Amino acid sequence: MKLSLRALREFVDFQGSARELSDLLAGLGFPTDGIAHSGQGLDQVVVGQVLTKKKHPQADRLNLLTVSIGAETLPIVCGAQNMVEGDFVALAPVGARVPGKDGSGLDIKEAKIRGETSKGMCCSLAELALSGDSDGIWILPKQKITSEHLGKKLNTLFDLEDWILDVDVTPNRPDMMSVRGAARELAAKLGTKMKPLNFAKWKAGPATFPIVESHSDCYGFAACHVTGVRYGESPESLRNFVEAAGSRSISNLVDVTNKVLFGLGHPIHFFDAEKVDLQSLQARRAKSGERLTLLGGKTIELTTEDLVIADKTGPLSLAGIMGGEASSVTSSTKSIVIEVAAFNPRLIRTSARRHELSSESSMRFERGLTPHRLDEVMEYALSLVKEVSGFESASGSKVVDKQIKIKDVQWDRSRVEAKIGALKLSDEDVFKLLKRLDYEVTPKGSTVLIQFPWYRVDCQFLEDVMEDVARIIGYEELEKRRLRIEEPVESLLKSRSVENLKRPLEQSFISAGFVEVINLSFSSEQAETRLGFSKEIGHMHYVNLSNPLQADRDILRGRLLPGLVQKAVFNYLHGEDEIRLFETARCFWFDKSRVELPIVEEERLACVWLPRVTDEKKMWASRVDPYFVFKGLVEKLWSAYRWTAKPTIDRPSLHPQNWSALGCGFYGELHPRIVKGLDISGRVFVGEWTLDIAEKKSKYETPDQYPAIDMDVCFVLDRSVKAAEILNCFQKTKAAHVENMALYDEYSAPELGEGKRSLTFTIRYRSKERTLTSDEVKQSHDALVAGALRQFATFGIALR
Amino acid sequence: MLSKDMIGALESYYSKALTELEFVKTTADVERIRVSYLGKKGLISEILAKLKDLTPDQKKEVGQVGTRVRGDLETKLVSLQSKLGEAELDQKLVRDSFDTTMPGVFFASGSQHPIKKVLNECIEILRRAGLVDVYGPEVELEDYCFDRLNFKPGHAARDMQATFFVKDSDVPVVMRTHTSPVQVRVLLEAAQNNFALPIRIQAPGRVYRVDDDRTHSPMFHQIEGLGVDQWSSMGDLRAVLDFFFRQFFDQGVKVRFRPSYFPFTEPSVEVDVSCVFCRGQGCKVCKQSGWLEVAGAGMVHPEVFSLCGWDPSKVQGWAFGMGIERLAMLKLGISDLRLFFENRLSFLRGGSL
Repeated sequence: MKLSLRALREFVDFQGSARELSDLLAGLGFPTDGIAHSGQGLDQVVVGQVLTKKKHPQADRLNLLTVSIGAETLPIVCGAQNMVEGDFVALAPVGARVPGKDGSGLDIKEAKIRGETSKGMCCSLAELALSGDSDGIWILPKQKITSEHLGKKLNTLFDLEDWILDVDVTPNRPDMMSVRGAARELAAKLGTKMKPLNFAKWKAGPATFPIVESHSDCYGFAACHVTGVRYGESPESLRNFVEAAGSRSISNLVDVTNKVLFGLGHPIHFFDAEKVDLQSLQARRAKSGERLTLLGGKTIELTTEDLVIADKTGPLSLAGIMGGEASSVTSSTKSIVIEVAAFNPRLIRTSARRHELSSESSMRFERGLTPHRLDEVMEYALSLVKEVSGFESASGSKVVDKQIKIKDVQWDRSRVEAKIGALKLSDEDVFKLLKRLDYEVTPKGSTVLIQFPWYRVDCQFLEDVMEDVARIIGYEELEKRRLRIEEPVESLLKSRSVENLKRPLEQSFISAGFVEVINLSFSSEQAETRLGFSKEIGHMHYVNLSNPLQADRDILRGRLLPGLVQKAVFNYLHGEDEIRLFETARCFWFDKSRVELPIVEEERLACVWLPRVTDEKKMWASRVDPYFVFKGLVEKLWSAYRWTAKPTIDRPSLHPQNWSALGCGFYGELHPRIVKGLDISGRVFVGEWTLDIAEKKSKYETPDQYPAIDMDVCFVLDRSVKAAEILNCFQKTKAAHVENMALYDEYSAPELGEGKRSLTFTIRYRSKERTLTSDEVKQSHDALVAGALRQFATFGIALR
Repeated sequence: MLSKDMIGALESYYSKALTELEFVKTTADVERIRVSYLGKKGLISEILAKLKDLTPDQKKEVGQVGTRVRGDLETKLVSLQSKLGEAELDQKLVRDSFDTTMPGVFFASGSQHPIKKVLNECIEILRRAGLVDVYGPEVELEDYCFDRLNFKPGHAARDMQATFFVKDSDVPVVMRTHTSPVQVRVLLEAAQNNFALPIRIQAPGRVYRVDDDRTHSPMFHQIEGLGVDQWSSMGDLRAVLDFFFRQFFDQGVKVRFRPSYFPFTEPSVEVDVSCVFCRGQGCKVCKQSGWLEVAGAGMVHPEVFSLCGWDPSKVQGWAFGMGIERLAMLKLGISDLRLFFENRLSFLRGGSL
């Protein structure tokens, strides 16, 4: 909300600076986003009078003026067109410095513009930072300025300096969306008095007027018929008030509605009484199919969820949001109907959203205004109409829901102190403080009843009272305590044990050279399926968003790899080296069959490796195929964990051979066709796993006491036989004393024969009870070798 | 050969050997000399081999000389061997060494994401303050995200957190806009568990809002704290946050409460810390105020207790929440939020904390 320091001083006696005001409001819970200082350069600007005006000979859009400032007459080249000879203007002579349109300061220098000398500038309101925008230069009002004033500084003639604070108002405080609200908070804090407002009385009018269809839609409605008004320009003070609040001055009557809106925070509406049937004036739901042309000319289609002010001819205005064009106040208006009402904030909010209309008025009604003091608002409006236009008669009536009561609560000092700490003030002092905020304090037997201010909408608990007490006293004055650690009752949300395992797991990926990334959870079906993933997993499908930020980020990701591979490519294209990325995050699936929340959230880990090294790092580059580097790394990283759930994870399109399942997941080489589609060259290794994991139990045993005997065996056989098949075969033989076995060499050469290779295994034999004899070992070893020779006879197996 | 001649020969070979030893340069020379005098067929060895043909007296006489000569020679050889050996090793190490200015084997360096670093640090500090970390779903019932936290339907407060909605669900489901629904889950669960007290939890995690510009990301991280029992006051909330920020920044940091509004706390406060860049003197980062806004907090609203099945007249507690990205930017001196989610390796691998 824009809060003018000058406007504030109409409501409260405050002599402090804008900065002090800003600090005080921040301390009360309403911080300031910025302070604008307007009317600053007026001591640099003098009154001038346009003596002659003719076109610039070289430029159609420019005018050559001669401007008198009393002592001398200056030649001025001016881009604006809105002056005529004889007009008084705001002239900044050479050497002056004015705020400029962007507020950064503008120094006036003598200049030659297209061959013509200019010795100063005729200023617009915007150039003097008196208005956000303005058409043409500022023509000074003739009723105020005469030729006597020529050459006089503007700050001696106009009182225009002001400070505008941009105050953040929390949504629970509609009352603070007004100058009076801010003034009231300030007065309470400083212990000063508010200035009294002017009110003008109105007479009771016909009882049937106005009509309220439903009190749950319209809490109260006061209408007053005012005759003999005079449409015209606003006086300077009224114009300044509404412009300082960020509005534009339109006419005396419209400006009055805005002064009430900004001043009291209660929006009101003026209808042209001649365009309204008073006897049927009512607040009602719109009928389906009704249409209304709003101020500004936009026509909207109404629904039964819209609240309108209507008469027998149909809707006149969209209640609380915007007036209708047909019934609006114009220059021919002679009498008006003033509407002061309180509406259900939900209706206003949904209506404003549906029609995409947000106004200063709807913003206030949405936050909630009470019907308790409609008369006060009416009488303040009337006094303003009287002041700026005058009127002959004012009569009307109001309808208010009697069920709406101002809430109250019993004072309980011990509860207050239990929550905000021991108070230094006595009860009496606390009550005094509350009264300054419009609370009513009534002793009732041995207790005290605290009634909330009539304008506070969401107060009902003692906590609300506590907050106001704490706010006014200041939080720094409240009791402080020392940190007290209590052993908590453990809540049993299930993901926690995984969280504790995730950290060391992540650390080991980091130690293995992987860089952790955080991708956003948003994705698109196209991005998700690019790697060859399917759109569904069983009966589950992607989680779709109703209101995505962008059309291509309209689902939640179901796997981590699509986003992770994309980031690897992104880094590749930026010339990054040795790209190893990993991410742990949740993946989301929509599962309608689930009770309560139809979403599956699965914690996962994925990694990607683009083994690329630039020349500077090629020295010592490994000659091992990167698949085996990746395999070794991944198996090592997972070696301490086991999976506690069954695998549900699906795979992208992988190389037909180079991959393997591992726990609830897989690792391997991305299919070269997919890699080609990513516009990169080289090989891409990926892995993804669910994190339903547990730590493998550590087993601590006495180290072996007897020596091991290692025996080798070397076969030549067809390439089609996998190393693992031979190891499996060894295992099946169940030879005695075998402790361990491993492949340790692979060798290919033409002399081995076409399609053959040689594999060398080492087998370790050991007994826990004694030292083995060479005969025992030989017996076991021969059995293993014989078994393999038998099983792979058809693959041309031979000892080498 | 006579025993006299044998003694003479031994003495003569001995002195000859000593003379030769004076000129040796290498361990190989030493070895050659050893072999030629003391080897199996060495000059001295051959004489000594003939001892067996002598009489016992002669044997004794020649033997004494032989033992002395051989012992002396051996000692001299060993000491020369080791002296020359060391010098030769030194030379060899210099001669054979490779170019150590060549690079080491390249290892890619991994790193933790800066947001995770800061998040984990926050979790650790709050654990030390006695708060157990719990985790809730990121896609949440609208009821838990708003209604039970006293965001009334149709209330303007709902607009404070622009919300992503999930399609096709029978019950309204949203991307959680804050970590506070974890409060609801914990309170509901504890209510079913005989209202066990005290509750001391922290809820770290991802949250989502419909917002995307220089200073807002549609996904970001928060950490939340909740303490419920029968005695905790604003003063205790203050103590927890004092501890947290002093541990997170440094012990010189001051904490300030300013009144504010959140639907789920009453009273509600904004939490400021004295500016960590200028120590509260006023600078560009704190816009000359000397303070940085870092968290929101307050006493749990009685309506939240009621909506989660508790009797608000019997319990009380505090809650706070803060944005991890904000803390990370302050702590790591990062000025552009977007760097966190762009995920360029050269940024992520950047210096350590």
